[in-house]
Amino acid sequence: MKNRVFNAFLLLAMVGMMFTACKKEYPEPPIQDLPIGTIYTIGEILDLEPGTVFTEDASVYGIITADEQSGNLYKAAFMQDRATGAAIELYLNAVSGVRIGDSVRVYLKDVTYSVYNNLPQLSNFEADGHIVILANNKPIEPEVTTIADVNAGNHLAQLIRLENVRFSQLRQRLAATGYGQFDCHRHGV
Amino acid sequence: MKKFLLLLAVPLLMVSRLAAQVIDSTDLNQNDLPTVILMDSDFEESSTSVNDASTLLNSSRDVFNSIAAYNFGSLRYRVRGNDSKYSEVMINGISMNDPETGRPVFSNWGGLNDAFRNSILVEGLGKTDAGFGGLGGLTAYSTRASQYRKQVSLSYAFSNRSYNHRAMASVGTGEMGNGWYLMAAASGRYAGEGYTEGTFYQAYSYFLSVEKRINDKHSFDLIVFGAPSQRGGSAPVVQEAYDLVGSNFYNPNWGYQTIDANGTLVKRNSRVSTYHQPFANLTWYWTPSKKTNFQTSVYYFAGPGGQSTLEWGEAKDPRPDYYKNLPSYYMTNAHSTSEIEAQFAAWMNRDPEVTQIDWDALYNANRNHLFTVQNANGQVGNTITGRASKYIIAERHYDKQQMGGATFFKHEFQPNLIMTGGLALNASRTHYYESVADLLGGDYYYDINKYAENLESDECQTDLNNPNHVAYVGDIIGYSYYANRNYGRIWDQIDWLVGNFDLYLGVQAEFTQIWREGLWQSGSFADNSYGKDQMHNFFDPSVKAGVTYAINGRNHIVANFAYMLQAPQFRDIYVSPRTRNTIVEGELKSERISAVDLSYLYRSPEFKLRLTGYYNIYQNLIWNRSFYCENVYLNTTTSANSYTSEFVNFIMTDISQRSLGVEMGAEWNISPTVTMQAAAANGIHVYNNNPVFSVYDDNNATAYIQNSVAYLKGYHVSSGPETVASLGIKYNSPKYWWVSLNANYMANMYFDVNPYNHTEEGMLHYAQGDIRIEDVLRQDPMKDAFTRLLEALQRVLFPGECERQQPAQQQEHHPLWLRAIALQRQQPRHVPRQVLLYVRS
Repeated sequence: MKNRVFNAFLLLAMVGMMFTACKKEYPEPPIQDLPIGTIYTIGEILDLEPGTVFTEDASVYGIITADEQSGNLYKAAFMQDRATGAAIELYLNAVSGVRIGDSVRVYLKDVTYSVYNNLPQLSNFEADGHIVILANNKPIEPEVTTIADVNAGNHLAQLIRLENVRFSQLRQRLAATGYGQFDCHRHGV
Repeated sequence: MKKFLLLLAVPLLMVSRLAAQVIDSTDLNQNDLPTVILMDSDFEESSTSVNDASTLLNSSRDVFNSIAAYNFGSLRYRVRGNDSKYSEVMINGISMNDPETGRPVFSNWGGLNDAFRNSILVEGLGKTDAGFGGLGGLTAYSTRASQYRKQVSLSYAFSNRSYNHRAMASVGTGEMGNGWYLMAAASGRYAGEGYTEGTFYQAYSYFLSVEKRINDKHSFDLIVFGAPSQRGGSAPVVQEAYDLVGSNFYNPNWGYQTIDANGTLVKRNSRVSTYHQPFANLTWYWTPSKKTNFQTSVYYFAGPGGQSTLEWGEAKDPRPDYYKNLPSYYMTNAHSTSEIEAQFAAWMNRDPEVTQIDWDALYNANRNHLFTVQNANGQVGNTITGRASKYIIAERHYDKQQMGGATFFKHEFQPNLIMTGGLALNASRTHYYESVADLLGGDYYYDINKYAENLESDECQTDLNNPNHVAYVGDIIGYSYYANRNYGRIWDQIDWLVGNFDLYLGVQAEFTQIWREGLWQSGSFADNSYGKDQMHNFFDPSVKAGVTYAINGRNHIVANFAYMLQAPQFRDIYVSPRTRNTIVEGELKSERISAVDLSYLYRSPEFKLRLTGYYNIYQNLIWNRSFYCENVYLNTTTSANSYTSEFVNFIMTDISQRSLGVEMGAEWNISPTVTMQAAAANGIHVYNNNPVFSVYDDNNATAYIQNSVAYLKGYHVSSGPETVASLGIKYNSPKYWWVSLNANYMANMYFDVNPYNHTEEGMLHYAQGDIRIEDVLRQDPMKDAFTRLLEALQRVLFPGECERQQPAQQQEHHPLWLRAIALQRQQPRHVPRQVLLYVRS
C-alpha cells in the first residue's frame, strides 16, 4: 500500500512537471536605427514645391516649440530651426508625445511637404518610425515681434512673443469646437 | 427581521403539519412501477443530475443539459438565456461564485475532472438538498476522500481546440487503515498554438483530499487544490476583418517579434491570462443519527489573477483591427487610390505587418522617445531622463482573498418528509490594479493619465499621493482599489412526498454589504477616489416551490415557481470603480426574478425524453459599460457645439427583461453500445421595458445626460443563440473506449444594441428622414451556423486547403473534436451493463 501511494505521488509529480506553466519571456529585438540619409534644413524644405513627397532616406533637425500637452493642439506640433528661425508645422496622423524643448530629428521618407492656408507643414506621417527625440529641455526663446508684423505674413509657424497686448473682449469662447476651451482668464467655457 | 422570521416559520409550520401524514401503499401495475435506469455512462461520472423528477428517479442524467453544456458551449449558448451568475456552484457546501461578478469560475479547478466527478446537478429551477440554488440551478461538488473509489487512473487526450494535449492522473486509496482516506489528482494541458492562430495554452492543476474518520458519527476532511494557468487569447473583431482575411478565426492579438540578429521571428500574444487562486477547506461531517447529518466547512482561498494588455499613450493605436487601419476607413478618408488598393491587398494577403501587431515597431518607437520627468515621484528636484515607453504591456490584476464558513444539515422526519437547510458567511476582498509587465525596450513608464484634457494640471495624475510617477517593471500604475463584498445567508427547504406527488418549498434570506476602498487618489476625482466608500447594504429574501406528479413509473409532470431577490454586483453599482467611489443614479435596488417552468418527462430503458416550457421575468437590472461614444449630446442652449465624442461611462438602471421558450432533450439507446441523442431549444430573450440611462465622462465628473430614457422594449438581449439543435450518435466499446459524432445548429443570435442609438439624444444627431436611421435601429441576428462534420474532417486531414472562402459562402467552422482513448484501470467491480430495478413504494 505504501508503495502504491508513493508511486502515485511520483506519478502525479511527473504529470505536474510535464506541463509546468512558465511565464513566457521574449528577448528584445535588435536595435533598428532610422537611417539619416540626406540632411535638409527647415529652410530648404520651405523652398521645395508644395506637395513634394520625400521618397529617399532624408532627415531634418529642429526644436519643438509647441506640443499637444496643453490640449490646444491635437496630432500636431511645431518645429523650428534654432539657428535660422525657420519653422514648420508637423501635421501628424497620430498623437506624437513630443514636448516643447525637445531636440528632434524627423526621418522624412514617405513624408509630404505641403502648405495649408499658407501654413507650411510636414504631413502624412506618424511620430513612430519618423521622429527621434535626441535631447530634452532645449527650448528656443521666442522672438519678440508685433501684431502688425504678424499680420504682414511674417513668422509663419514661428514661436513669437507679443508684448503689451490684451484681449479686447473678456470671457469669450476663443475656439469653435474641441477640448479644453478657455477664455482669456483661462476659465473653462 | 420580521420578514426573516416569517420566512423561516413557513417551512417549520409545514413540517409540524406534515409529520402526521402516512404514506399509502397501493398495488401498482408494472408500468406504474418507478424505474431506475443505470447506464454505462452513469458509472463514468458519479454526478447525479436531477431535473425535478420524482425522488425515486434520481440516477438519470438530463440529456438536454448534458448536450447544452458540451456541444452548445462553443456556440456561446446560455440555457434559457440565463447569465451564469444565476447558477450556483458549490464545493462541500461552499459557494464558489465569484463575489464581484457572481459567476462561477470553473477554471479554478480546471483539469481536475477525476476529483470533481462526485456532484449533484440540479438544472434550472428545482429542489436541491445541497443549497438553495439559483435560477439557473445548482451544481454541488463533494470532494470527500472516502467517496472516491480505490483506484489509479491515467488518461491522455488529444484535441485541436484551445489546447492540444491533456494528461490526467489520479489516485484514490480507499481506506488505508485507522480511518484514513486519501485522494490525489493532477493534470496538465498544453498547446504551443491552439486552433486559433496566435493563441497558446499552458496549465496544470493539483488536488489533495485527506479524510480522517474518527468514528461512525464524526469525520474530518481537508482539501487543497489549485489550477495555475497561462493562456494567450483571441478577440472578436468586426465582420470586415473576417471577410478580408477569409477566416472567422482571425486573431488580432498577436504579431511577430524579432528575437535575434539573424532575424528569427516568434509569435507573441498581447492578451495573456495568468491565474492561480488555490483553495483550502476543512470540513467536519457529523452524523448524530441515521436520519440527521451536519456538514460544516471553513475555507480560505486567495491568489493572483490577471490579464495582460497593450497600453499606449500619446501614440498611434497599435491594434491592427483599429478602424483607421481597415480599408473601409481608407476609402472614406482622403486616401489616394493607390493607398486604398495597397491596404486592401495587405489585408487580403494577410500581410502580418498590417494584419497583426508589429512588435518591432513598438520597441523602436519606445527607443526613440527620450523624455525627462521633473520632480519625479513627488520628490522636488528628482529629475529622470531616459527612454519613456509610449507602449507597454500592462497587467490588469484581480487578486482575490476570500474566507468564510458554511454549515448544512439534513433531517429525515419520515422517509417522505425531509428538511434541509444551511447557513453561510463570507468575506471577500479583491485587489484591482494595473502593473507594468514589459517596457518594450523603454527605460521607464511615465504613469500619468494621458487621456486627461490637460496634461499640465493635477487632473492627469493617477495618484496625487505620488505625482509624476515613474514606474518600472512590476510597479503598480493607473489605478488601485479594493472591491469588498460580505454576505450572510440562511436557507431552508422542506421536501414532501405524498402519493404520486413530490412537493418542495424553499426559502432563503441573504444580507449583503458592498463597498469600494480606493488606494490611489485620482487627480481627475480628487474628492471621491481615495479611501473607503460607505457600505451599501442589501436584504434579499427568496422563495421557490415545485411539484412533480408521477402519472406512472415512466411519465412525469414537473412544475416549478421561484421569486428571488439578488444583490447587484460590485462592478454594476459603481459608475467607474477603477476611478472613483461614485455610484449609479437613483436608489440601489436588488435584482428581482420571477420564474415558472413546466416539464414533461418520459423514462424507459430504451428512451428518455424531456419537454419543457419556461417563462422568466428579470427586474431592477443594471447595465454598465465604458466605451468611446461619438456624438454625445451636451444639452447646451447653443445649437452649435451640442455634441462631443468622449470615452464615457454609460449606465442603464431599472432594466426589465423577459425570457420565454421551450426545450427538448431525448436519448435513445439503440443497442447496449450505441446511443443516439438529440436536443433542441427555442427561446425569446428581450427587453421588457424602456430603462433609464445616464452618461458620464470617464475622465472627469461631468454628467452629460442624466435619467433619460432608452427605448429598448422588444429588442433582443445578447444571450447567445436563441435557437439551438443537436443530433449525435455515440459508440461505447466494452473495452472502455468510446467515440461520438455530433452535428449542431444555432440561429437567432443577436449582438447587444448600442443603447445610445435608441435614445432621443442619440437620434438628434440624425436629420428627420435620414436613411441611416433604419440601419441604426435595426437589430439583425448573426448568420445561422452549424458544424459540418465532413468539412471539419477535411480540415484535419488536409490542412491549408480550407483557409480561404468567399465571404458569401463563409460559415462558422468548428474543429472536429477528437477524443482519444481514456484508459482507466480500476479495482475489479461487478458492474452490469444495464440494471433494471423495481422499487415498490
